Amino acid sequence: MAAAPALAIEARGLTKDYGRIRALDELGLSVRVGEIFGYLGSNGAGKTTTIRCLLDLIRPTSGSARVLGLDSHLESIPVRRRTGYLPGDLRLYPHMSARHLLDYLGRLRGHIPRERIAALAERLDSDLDQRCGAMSHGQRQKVGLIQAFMHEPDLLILDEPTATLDPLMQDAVHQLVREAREHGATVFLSSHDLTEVARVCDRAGILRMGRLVAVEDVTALAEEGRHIVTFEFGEPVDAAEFQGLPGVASVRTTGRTLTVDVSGDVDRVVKIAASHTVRNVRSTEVELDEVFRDYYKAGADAG
Amino acid sequence: MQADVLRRTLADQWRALAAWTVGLVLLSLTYAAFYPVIRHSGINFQNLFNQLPAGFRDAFLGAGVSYATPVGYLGTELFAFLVPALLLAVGVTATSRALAGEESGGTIDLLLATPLPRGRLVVEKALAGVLPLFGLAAAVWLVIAVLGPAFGLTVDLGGLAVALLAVVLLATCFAMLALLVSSASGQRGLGAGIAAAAAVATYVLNALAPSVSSLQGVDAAASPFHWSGGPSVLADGVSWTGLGLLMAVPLVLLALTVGAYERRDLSA
Repeated sequence: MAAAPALAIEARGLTKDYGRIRALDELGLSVRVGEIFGYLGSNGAGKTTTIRCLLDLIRPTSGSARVLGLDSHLESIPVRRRTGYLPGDLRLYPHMSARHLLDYLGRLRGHIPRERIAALAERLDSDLDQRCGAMSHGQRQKVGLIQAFMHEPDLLILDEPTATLDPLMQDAVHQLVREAREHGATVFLSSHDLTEVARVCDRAGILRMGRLVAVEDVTALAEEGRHIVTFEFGEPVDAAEFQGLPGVASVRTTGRTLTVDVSGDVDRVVKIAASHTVRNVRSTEVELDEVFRDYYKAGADAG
Repeated sequence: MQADVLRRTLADQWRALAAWTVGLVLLSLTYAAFYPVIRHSGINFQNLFNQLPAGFRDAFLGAGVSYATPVGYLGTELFAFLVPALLLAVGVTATSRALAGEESGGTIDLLLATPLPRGRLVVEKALAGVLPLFGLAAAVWLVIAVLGPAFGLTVDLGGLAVALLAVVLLATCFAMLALLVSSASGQRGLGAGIAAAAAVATYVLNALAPSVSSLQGVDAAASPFHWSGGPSVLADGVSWTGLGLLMAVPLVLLALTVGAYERRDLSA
């Protein structure tokens, strides 16, 4: 037995060209075993292209990827056996009932206990006897989720799993995702919803024009906290006094108002401010999605 | 995994196949029932046919075969055009949608997210397209074998089986061409179109070659319709070469399909 790999997904120089359009541009990606990794990007950033490469549905122009320690192309069969996949554009067989469809996909995977399917259906409040063609978007999505989770895979690749679900169902899905991680599974979740990623993921990567522009530890970011602190002084104060302090990202002054963007401890900032006459202080916490948005913009400027 | 894709695909088309079977049975029965009229009409069909252009005549009546005999009658009515055309239509329809349909329907992602090898998917889809043809041919055989004698249609049943087998293989050639083109392009219409065009071209080639000097022998080399025996198949049988070619062509096309499909980016 080979040692268990530390990375569930590892892409190196993954490039995919469609004619003259470069969908993936030497993408490097590392997803650790046992984490929930958020794959953020706007539509067309290359999220689905990455995922379909990992599952060997399409072949990279150059570069390669390892999934669960296996080559995504040469060892695609064992990769797919151990992976659960929810397509971004999920389409089912319209004439089949959900039960028949799950039975069919289950048999292609070997044996899946009926009770497991029933339990998932109950949790997601899914009517398995309905014809897939007669289902609403949300109902179809639930069937898609059941087939992704039903064989208790080591890796879950979910392409925009909650995009068409109501908030209650989104919570149910997030709960399933967390439970899967508790049982040792890795979850790769693509999304364009920053709030969702901030809420469920351990780490997040931001994809822009086929390149990973940032990978961040979501929990650390949340703990670290980032604040915009605004001081109103009695007299104009030199911004230079605050620049370079630990955690300070930017300083802006307009007249006697000074705004500091600071991450983590605000102690030093407050103490320096206290050496002047402070008329007023306001502090607002920066939401995680703003943090991501900033990264995204930075990536856009760089690109 | 026990041929789940094959069984699923067959189950999906059982209604259509049942309808085709009923249609083909009724058709065979109608032709069988009409035979006594031909036999007792006293018309000299040979003279009638001799007035036709040679190419046209050979396409519908085997050389040296009398139309009013059971062998000639069945050869002309069933084997010259009708049964091959129907089986071809059934086969090409099924195989052109078999893989391309999963792609255009968007279900291929779901299907190939399972540990199903692409090559196996291709083979099972191919079988699902071809196996029903054997069933349809068997239905024709049963009608002639069981009800034919009642109408004076007595033919060698072994020969009839071989002739029908050749027609099934003939249809399989074009069904596999449709599978190759549609699965390699992801376009169902393209596969069906090219297979239909190839069928028409080789049919015409087979009909014209004997009377066009520059085409002499080309039909034997290039037309599956020639290999399968045509209208004189019940009188002359099917050659081993013909049977061999009719089996080799689909296998080669299937191998090409597996190769092409393995390499392809599947559309989302």
